[in-house]
Amino acid sequence: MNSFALKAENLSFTYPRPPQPLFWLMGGKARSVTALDKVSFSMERGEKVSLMGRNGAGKTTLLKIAMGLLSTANSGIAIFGMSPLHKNSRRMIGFSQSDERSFYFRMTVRENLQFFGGIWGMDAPSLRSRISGISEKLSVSEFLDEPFAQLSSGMKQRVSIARSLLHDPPLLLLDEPTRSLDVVAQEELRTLLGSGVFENKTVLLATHKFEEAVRLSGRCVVLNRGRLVLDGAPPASESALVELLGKEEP
Amino acid sequence: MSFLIPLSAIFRRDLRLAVSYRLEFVMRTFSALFSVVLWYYLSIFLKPGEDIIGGKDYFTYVVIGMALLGYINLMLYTFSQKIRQDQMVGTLEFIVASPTSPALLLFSSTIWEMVMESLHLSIYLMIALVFGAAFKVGAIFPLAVVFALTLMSFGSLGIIAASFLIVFKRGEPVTPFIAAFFALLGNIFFPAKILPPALKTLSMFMPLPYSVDAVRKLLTAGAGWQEVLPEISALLVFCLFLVPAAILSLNLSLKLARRYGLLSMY
Repeated sequence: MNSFALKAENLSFTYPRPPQPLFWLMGGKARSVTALDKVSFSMERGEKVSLMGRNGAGKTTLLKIAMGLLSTANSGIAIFGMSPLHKNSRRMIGFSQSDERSFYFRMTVRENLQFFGGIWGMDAPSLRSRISGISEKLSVSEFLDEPFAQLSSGMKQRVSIARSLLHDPPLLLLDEPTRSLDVVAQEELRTLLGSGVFENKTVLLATHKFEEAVRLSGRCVVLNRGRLVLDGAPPASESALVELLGKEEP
Repeated sequence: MSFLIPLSAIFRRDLRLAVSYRLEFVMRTFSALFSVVLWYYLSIFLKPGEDIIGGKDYFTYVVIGMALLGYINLMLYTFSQKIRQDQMVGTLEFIVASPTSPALLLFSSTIWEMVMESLHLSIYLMIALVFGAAFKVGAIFPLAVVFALTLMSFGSLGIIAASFLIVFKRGEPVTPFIAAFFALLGNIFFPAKILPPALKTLSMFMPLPYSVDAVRKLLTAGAGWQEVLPEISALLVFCLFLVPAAILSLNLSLKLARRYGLLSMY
């Protein structure tokens, strides 16, 4: 049995410039952009790691490769020893992002969760009990029959986390879950992240927020311009992190 | 069976979203009524030569063509519309990241639309009967086979159009062009035999004339297997080419989307 939940080995990804005439038709980027450059790190089962870096450092690209939404010729990343494109590896991953625009706004919270649980292959009885259990833990029970559009941003983020936990995946990828939240909602969500909700889960949390990263785990992976600049204990302070990120040559 | 779980999840999603837009159903019912009335009076006004359309009345001729065209348009547009909807709503990445196969996801997204189109077709044909359309239904099983082959052919073309949408983001200008082209050459409003020779020849390489001819034979002339065997054979040949082409184009477009990071773009 593979002991690594996630293992990246010399992981590189360049958003390529499509060949002509495909480029002309697609109207793609004018030049190729390297998002990840030979990144190597691994996560043991049950480990919690913060993924930090500036905007455009490659954090979201890394998460999307892990989810099988982006691919390279040589993937360089394995999820429980499998390719991210493998059907079974997708069952092992739960994903939550800060963009609330990934739900059907005209459907209720429950209907949204039923839909996503359904395409993850969950049958109605297990979905019912799972929705009830998770919504209880995340304090969204009373909003289950509300239209998604009517929820506050903080509540939408909780629902997004509930969706990531629906199929009980052992690996969670969280992409800046507190980005668009007010300070109170941020604090509530951080408390939630530190609670037992993610017990026994491997969590990779992409964040810009130093305090959040430190609170989640004692291990931090820092990317700068696609390169790994730190893998270990978080920097001593936010200014130390700023210094670390500022040091990298452009 | 496990494939039924995502299929029913997608059906229920489409049902819920459709119910939240009730006006659309009412408007489509009214448009069926207006369409039948329009073709009824046009058939009286124009009185096309009955020898051109094989001795049948033009009203019945065009009503059947229009009914089939509804399904054709459904198969051509639905896949692209659903992908576009999920691109705009922002759910496409989550759906693609699920363990359900893209082909099953796409196929499931047509089920609700098929049910609705069938409901509208029934209303459409009932209104046409009231206005005097002369149906003489033949064998049902060949009708089901023709129908299934027609949906497979045009569903494949719809998936090819959706594949373009995934990569190029705007497939809409292409699909209406194809739909209009089919309407022109597809024996819907008039038989292709009155067209110039070049267009007449071109129409032989499209599935629509074979579908429409077979359905007309089965619904107005009481035909059976023997009479529609040539059309069924032609449709089978189209399916043999189009179904693998659709699977290939879908896989290729997803591969390109993953390589170039196109799934979140719209």
